Amino acid sequence: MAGIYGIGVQALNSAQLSLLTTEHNIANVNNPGFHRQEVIQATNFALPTGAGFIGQGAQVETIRRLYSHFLDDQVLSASSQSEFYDTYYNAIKQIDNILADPNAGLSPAVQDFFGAVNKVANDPASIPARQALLSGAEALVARFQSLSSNLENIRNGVDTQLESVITNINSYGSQISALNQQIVAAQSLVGQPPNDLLDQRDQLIAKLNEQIRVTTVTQDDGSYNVFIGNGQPLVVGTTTFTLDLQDDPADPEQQNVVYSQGGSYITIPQTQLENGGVLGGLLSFRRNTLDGAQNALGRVSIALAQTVNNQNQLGQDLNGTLGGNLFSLASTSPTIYANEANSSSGAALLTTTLSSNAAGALTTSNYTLAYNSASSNYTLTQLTDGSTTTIASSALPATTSYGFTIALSSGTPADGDQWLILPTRFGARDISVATSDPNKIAAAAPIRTSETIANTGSASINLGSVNTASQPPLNSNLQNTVTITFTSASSFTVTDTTLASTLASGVTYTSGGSISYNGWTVAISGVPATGDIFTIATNTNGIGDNRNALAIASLQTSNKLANNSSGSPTTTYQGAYSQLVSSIGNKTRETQVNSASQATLLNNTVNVQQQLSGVNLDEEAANLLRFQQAYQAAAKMIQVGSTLFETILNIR
Amino acid sequence: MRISTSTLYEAGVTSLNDQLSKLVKTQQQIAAGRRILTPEDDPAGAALALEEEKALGVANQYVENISRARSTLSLEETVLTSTTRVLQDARQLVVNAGNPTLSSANRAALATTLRSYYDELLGQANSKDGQGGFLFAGYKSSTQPFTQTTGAGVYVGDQGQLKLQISDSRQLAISDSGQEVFNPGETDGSDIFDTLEDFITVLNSGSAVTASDLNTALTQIDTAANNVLRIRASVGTRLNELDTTEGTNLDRVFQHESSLSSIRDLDYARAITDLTRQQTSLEAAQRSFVSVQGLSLFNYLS
Repeated sequence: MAGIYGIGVQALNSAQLSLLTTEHNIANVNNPGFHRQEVIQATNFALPTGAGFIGQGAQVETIRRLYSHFLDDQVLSASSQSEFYDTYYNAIKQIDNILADPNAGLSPAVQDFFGAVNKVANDPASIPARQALLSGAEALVARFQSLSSNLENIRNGVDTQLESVITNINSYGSQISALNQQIVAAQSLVGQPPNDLLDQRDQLIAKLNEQIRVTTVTQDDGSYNVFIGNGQPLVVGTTTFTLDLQDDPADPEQQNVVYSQGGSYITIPQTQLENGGVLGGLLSFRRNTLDGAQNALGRVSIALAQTVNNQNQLGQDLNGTLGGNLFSLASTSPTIYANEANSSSGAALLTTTLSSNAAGALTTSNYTLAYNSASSNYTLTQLTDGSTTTIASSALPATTSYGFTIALSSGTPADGDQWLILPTRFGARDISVATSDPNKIAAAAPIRTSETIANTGSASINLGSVNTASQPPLNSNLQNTVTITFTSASSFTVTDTTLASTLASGVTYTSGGSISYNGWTVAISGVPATGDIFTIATNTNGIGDNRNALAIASLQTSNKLANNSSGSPTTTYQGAYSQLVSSIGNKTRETQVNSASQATLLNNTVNVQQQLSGVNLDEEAANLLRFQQAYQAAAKMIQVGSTLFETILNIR
Repeated sequence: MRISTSTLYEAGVTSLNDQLSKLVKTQQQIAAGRRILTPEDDPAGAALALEEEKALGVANQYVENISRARSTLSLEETVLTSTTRVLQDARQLVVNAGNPTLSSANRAALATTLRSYYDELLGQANSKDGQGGFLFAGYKSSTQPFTQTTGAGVYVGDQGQLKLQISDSRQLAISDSGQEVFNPGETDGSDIFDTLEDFITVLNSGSAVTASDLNTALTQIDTAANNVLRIRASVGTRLNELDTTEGTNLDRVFQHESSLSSIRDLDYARAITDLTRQQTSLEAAQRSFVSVQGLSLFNYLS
């Protein structure tokens, strides 16, 4: 009799617990991170009798959550990658959008500028045409600056996001350590797993993992240890370590994620953090895409400004003086930063300057320079491909093959001192128009050629040109009056009459051959007669001359950037810009594809995880019926027991 | 297989989002009329479009340069035509002056006419172009090139020739220097101003024009006229070249425009078809979502 009651009451309890658990499941159907729970029953110890073992019913052993470490880890890994690509995609998409607008891009501004140069070439004396060229230059500069400030805003946005990510990570870290404490206490209290606390902690891990890829290790007492990067602990039991942002000692414009331990900061190599999560996406985007995009834009800006300046300096302006600069390049190109950790004793101060014909040599890379005192060499490392150049300290100031020159301006370097060189980063930000005077556009060439009226031969001289190689600075004798006097039909003498010196005599004449002196080149063709004189002189009043304007205009279609291995430039200004557009477009597309495939992967792993751990309402509805019936049956058992008892009592 | 309720819901929502974003993308393409909305849509195409735009801009620039070159060269041709006419008139006058029946008063009258031809030629040599520069001054376009009022030509321009870029590889001269056209200061008799001045002196001398005077003047005028004709022929050749090159450049403009359009522009027929198809699939997804979400065992529990 006692057996019947006992089994009945236990069964009633079990059914009630099962009903409660089902209700708990139903209540949490939309709770992310919830794992469905089920009641585990075990049969009681059977009563051994001569007639066999009599079953003694069942009791509730535990309430467990349907959790698979393996499946949940798969979800963690997929979600971390998915967040990484989402973050990267959202960031790079901003650049993609900036470059997308066919009217706001760089190309139309370059086109308009050179259109204005052509108008000056068509009408070299026209002040309105010259004014239009200056306006075109202003518009071009404004476009460079606006693209640059857009990129700079994206960089600032990355910094702001980094701050909030770090805040989130630290907050999740401390919440996880608090839960560790509660879980250890709860578990030791009843010796049963505190399912809902475990769910809460796993959910926090999931959220933390979206911010930064983490690995977890479960301890014997049930607490989690959480690691980031290459195994730096973030949470150990109830202890948390925090992350922080600190200025990069190498680059004061950049903030790095550092690890705070016992009041001191340890820099984590940023590449170790690029393995997932929002943080990884941001850092990877900044290093792999943003730096390159800013540099590529800066390179076009510097190359255009320098080549146009150089050509303008080879010409003569409307005032009759030699041309100057049309664009100003800021002193920030290139920029060099000394590492904060450099020795203060030597206080070496290095400076960098742009080489005079840097356009083709410039790359889109940044560089590091490190000093080794044992060999007293500097090592220059190109960061994009890791290639190194050794520069002996005795060789300073040294011209590198990357379009800039390094000089030691004061102090002495100490072993291990490092510098960061950003040759092109600020090129687009700091470009400006150098003159507001339309007369300063050097449309004319500084020399003119003429043949003496009394010449009896049929030879004629061409218009001549100023040599571009190794100029500027211009040959100081460029505008001297030089005569070419034929001593016979086949040879001539070249005399600089300004200096009253003979430059060459007895030169063999070849019809149409180049004749170069004092930085210019002319050609004489035809049959000269003895005594014929040709003159090269300064282009006084040559305001209708457009030779130099034509030369500036032709820069648009000439390859000026990106030298190949043999030192010849391979692309135009607009070509270099379209390479940027294409590389950003490709990277955006690639990230988008990765992001979409990671989302699908995440979806699939979540589905598999949910197959085990998710709540299905139909199933719970069925369970409600099942446990209701079990409850009713158990109640019936008690009623049967009671009836049986009454039957006995009713025996008389 | 167990399906959790949230999976069912998420799958439905994800699919709705996917369908909607495809629809929106097509809609944006139709609204913009462009296949490539951002470089991401077709990175190689986007870069190619920039190159095509640049080439198109350059070709258009050449077309513009050609039209500028044509206007200057046409102006020069007009002036040179007048010069030829004046030289013909002068030649006729010289032939007439050889008539032995003329009185010295007649010859003085002819001298006055010849003087007006001289001035007319001088005016032509100092012609200005549409922008106010002197046509025959070489590079010294603001300097009046012929400064004499009588006598031999005094040229203070230079021997420069203005050239314009009319194709990638061709710079075409759009001016000729006064030295080249009028041979001022030449002592071999080709200075037309000197020739006219000499004959005016002969006519004003009071004595009859000798055969030798006549021959010298006629030969020299013919030389000058031939030189002007030579320049005119060269100008004509250059104008022809402009026409040919303009044709080539216009072909290039058309070619770049059409390849730009094929790279960047939208195929509307296809886009509209896509839009309709995507709309249908979105509606289907919406319907199935509603009907699947309506399924629940709880509906049957009472």
